[in-house]
Amino acid sequence: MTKKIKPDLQDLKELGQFYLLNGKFSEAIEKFKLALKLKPDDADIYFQLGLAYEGACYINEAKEMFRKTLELDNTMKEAVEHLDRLAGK
Amino acid sequence: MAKKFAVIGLGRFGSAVARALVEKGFEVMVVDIDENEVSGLSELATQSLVLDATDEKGLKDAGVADVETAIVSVGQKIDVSILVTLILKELGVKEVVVKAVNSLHGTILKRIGADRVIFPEREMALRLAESFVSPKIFDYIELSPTHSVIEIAAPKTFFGKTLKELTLRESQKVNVIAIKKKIPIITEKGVPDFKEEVNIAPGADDEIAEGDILVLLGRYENLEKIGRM
Repeated sequence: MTKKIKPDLQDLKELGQFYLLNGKFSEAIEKFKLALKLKPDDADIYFQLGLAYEGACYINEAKEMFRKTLELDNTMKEAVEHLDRLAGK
Repeated sequence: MAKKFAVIGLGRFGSAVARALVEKGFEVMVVDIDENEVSGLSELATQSLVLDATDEKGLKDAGVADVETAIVSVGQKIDVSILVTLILKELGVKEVVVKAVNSLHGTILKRIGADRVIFPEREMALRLAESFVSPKIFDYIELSPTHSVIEIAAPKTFFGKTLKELTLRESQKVNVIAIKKKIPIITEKGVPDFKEEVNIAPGADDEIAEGDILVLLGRYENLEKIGRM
């Protein structure tokens, strides 16, 4: 019997980032969402999910993710920068 | 020598225009009947005058005739804007741009010689409305009552296709003026980010990718169709 191995949190984050850096934003969104299910309080996943949404032009969703990032970690300057960048859109 | 402008009426619109012109390095003369409005800009402007703009002699003495372009923005005072426009044209100002509050006002201004009539509120409202109709439309410029330029997120059905394959010009009568691409990068701090690359006048073999923003020119109804895709 073949055993299906579920990707762990680290795998999902790495896969998400791989897709993000290759401009495959929809795939990245999918992986980061799965990662968040395993660790719902991870500011970094929220941030990268925000980037993937921004990349795919889902501006409202991106803003929401950057806001969540800051709720969890208010020192993430990059999230503030991206929120500012998206403010006019 | 820098082009000379006069901005008459320093409400929110007039003062914003004056500031923008100063920032661009032009010589700007500002005129308003209200001393407080003028004093807010007196340090920036080349010349600032507290003056009733319907006072022809006052405007003449101030040297308004020497400016290339005068922008008239006297708020809701239709009679004043008409008078000022007439005076400016009489004085020989080459280009008179006037802010109108409604269509009738606009028509009158054109008849009496305004070179350009603008409806900032209407233009802003249209742009705002567009952004609500489709959250994927990022910008909208009306070129004429029939043609516009829009900035729009590429629809899913465009991904992976070249402009030649999409045949937008033939099938939709829409021209792709530019493609804005987000190139993912890793910053010096090791954080992912994007760099924007703009491909102006893209070629037939250029391919659309997910996340691309297209700058399109075409008839309003054709652009709207793409916006709904």
